[in-house]
Amino acid sequence: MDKYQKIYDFLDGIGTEEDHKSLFDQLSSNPELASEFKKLIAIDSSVSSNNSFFQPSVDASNQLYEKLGFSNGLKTPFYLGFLNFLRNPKFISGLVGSFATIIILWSYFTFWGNNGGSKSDNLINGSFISKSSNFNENLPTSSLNVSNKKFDGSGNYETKSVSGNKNSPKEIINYINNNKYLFYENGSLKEFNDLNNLNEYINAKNINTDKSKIFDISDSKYSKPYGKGLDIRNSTLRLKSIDLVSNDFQYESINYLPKDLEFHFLSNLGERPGNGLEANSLSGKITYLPIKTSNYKFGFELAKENFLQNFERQIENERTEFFTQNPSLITIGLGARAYLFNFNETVHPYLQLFAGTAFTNEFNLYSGYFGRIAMGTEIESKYLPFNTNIGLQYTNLGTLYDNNVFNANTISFLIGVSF
Amino acid sequence: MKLSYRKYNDSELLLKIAGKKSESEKAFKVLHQRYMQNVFAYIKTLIRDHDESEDLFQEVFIRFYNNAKKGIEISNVQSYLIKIARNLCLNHKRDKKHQVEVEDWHRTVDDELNLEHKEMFNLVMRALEIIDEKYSEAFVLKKIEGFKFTEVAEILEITVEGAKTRVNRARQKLLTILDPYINDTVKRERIN
Repeated sequence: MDKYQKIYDFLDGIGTEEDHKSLFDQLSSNPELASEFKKLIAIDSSVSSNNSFFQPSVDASNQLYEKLGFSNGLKTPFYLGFLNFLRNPKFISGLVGSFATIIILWSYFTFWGNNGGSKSDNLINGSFISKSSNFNENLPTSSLNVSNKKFDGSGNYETKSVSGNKNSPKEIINYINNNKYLFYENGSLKEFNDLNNLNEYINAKNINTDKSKIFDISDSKYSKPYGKGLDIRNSTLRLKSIDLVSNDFQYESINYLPKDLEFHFLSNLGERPGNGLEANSLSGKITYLPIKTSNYKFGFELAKENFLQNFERQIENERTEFFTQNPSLITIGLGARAYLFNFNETVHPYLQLFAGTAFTNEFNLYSGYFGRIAMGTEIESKYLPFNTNIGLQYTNLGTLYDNNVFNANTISFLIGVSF
Repeated sequence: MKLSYRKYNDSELLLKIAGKKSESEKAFKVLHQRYMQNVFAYIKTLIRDHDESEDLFQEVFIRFYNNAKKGIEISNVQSYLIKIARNLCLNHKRDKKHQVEVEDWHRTVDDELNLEHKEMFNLVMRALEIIDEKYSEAFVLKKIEGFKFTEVAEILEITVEGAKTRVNRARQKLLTILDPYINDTVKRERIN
């Protein structure tokens, strides 16, 4: 038997306690063997199960994954780790196989400042329209630029402009709201509830009406430009003034800058007669799609989309007023997502189409439609229990609202997760 | 979820590899993480060259995946991987008429290990390069990979006794080669 055999057995964990005891007895009586034992221990222990010394590079593993068509396991930033709390089993079980999307629509919309004075008016054309004052109680004082166009009797208008601070837009707007008559006297405006009161005032004070005129506020026209993007709005009041001497009427325009900055990141231009503007407010959408297991998948969506539209509308006496409507549409639809190609094993670009019905509170399921087309990407993560989705979506939807066709186009961002 | 795949044992993971693609990928990655050091250690010991070792390392797992995907019965994953690695290494050496290069083992040793341990490890690795490969291979499988003698015997396709003999022969040869160095180390230890 090899003189080292007992040592080898000991190093390999072979043998009984008695064998080991025998070995140590031998070692104590044989210094040479004890020295060899120590050396063999040193050799064995230096390498014993030390395969941790052998670490293939990260590149080698990533290349292997790529060769097999797998995602390469790029690390997700640590700060995303907090999302792991979403891995609660109850939460996940309710969402397995689903895809949730939240549309965030940026639509910071400040239509003419404070709209708090709105009131309901059900009588206009028999429709439910919220009539708003649309005028800021605290309009900034601005210059009054009056542009008079007086009919000279020969078919021409004489134009003259007057500038000053004598009448702020706020005053005039308040008069308009109250449907009162104004008397322009020596550079200031006086208010009258009706024309008779105004005439009484003129007669009582024996005013030289050659230099005076009345403003028929009921014939005022108020206009306001609309559009998308960053917008500094210039507003115009057009007043019909009546010359008490000649009975000629003329229009005077008051231009002023309300200093309202409106930023319409997303807006919708509708088809309503006399429409001004439609704008999204915050909307939400849940889309259910299974996680990527093949190059396509099908799902459904439920969404609620809110809009705000402000528009001019002419009523019986040709007076133009402003109104606000808040169509709130519910959409239900089916759709599909197709993955275009694997960008780099973790990034999967996709094209997505959804279509279905859209309806308002009037609840006529078949009254409207919607269609969405989206492009985005689904991103896999090695350390998160879900995939992240980002994309850009175009939507067209239409329905009947307030006895009119409501139609809107939106562009929105998609942000979501796939389980 | 994907993280829970680590809880599965080898047999369960093999079943998943043979299943759906999404499960297959996750299961494979777990097995890869589980055994990559074993496989690489074995290859590196035999091949020495780091880049060539990594190429073979990838090839081992590709073959393993393809076979597992086909549902080929694999009773012991680690042993199966080492067998594939062994065949590839032998072929590689034969094709290349491999000449042993002296590798700087410091490349692979963790810098945090104490100096003497590192030094002894390097000495043993260098000594393994110059002893007969059939002994060094058995020694690596037994001592570095941690296989039982029965598994070493199965991988090398020899008897258990033969495996033991090879490992012990390796020890003897290592002892002979390293004797002066170990004596020096022992002396230093005493001084300290």
